[in-house]
Amino acid sequence: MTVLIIGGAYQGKRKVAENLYADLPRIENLHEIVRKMLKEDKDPLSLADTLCGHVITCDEIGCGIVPIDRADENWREAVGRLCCALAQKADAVVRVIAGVPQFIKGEKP
Amino acid sequence: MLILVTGGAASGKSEHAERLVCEKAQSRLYLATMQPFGKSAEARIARHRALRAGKGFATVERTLDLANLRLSRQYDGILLEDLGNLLANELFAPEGAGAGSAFDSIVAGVDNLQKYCETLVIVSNEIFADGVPYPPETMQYIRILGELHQKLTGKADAVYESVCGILLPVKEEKQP
Repeated sequence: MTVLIIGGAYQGKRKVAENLYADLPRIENLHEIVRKMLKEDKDPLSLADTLCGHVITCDEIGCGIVPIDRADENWREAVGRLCCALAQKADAVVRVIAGVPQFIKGEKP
Repeated sequence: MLILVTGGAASGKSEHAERLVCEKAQSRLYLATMQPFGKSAEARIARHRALRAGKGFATVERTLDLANLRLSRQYDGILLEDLGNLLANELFAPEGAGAGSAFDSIVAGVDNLQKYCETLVIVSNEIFADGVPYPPETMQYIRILGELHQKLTGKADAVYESVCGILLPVKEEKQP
């Protein structure tokens, strides 16, 4: 089973992952993993396959002004595209706001 | 019919907007507002062209002043992509409407486009939640885009937010 948990910073995504998907291996802060991969010239989209079978948390970072720095813009784009790819494969996509999980794909276990 | 599709960067909003137009319209026009300046814009335009390829869209490029746009024919559907660029052009391009008139000019532009089609789908951008303080011109841009979203949502039959490629209803189409 693959689950993608998204939401703004500090919304309780990890707690939702722990509470609802304790038996799945967890990958946290996907947005930071993507940043690191881009710095190392690796393609983050490859994670769309390798992260299947995990519960993944990722900050929503796309809802702002286009960053001035090109690297920041590429990062934002890469996080968005990877989340679209993961969401397509995922059994559930959960958006966490103020600690409350909203299932935007799939159902609560 | 008026449909607004908004979403953050790389959230899949263009794909959904195209699909909505293709579902509802036989004859389709793509109205491109982006000024093709810089590598980032070029890459974005190329990506959108590839997405649209083979889907039967005529293309008109118009970066400003949609209120005075005259089209040579009617279409079943028009896809306007996107509101964020259009507003930036109206505010910051030398020949743009300027801060005092940009809002009214864009609302009149949307009215004008609706005269040429049954279904107008507008792509826009969720840019309101990074919490970063910007210089006054940028804050004004954010404010006017937010006001446009409110105004157009009032007129729209349906409004959606694309999140990770998933289309979430903000305002739902009434079923006949």
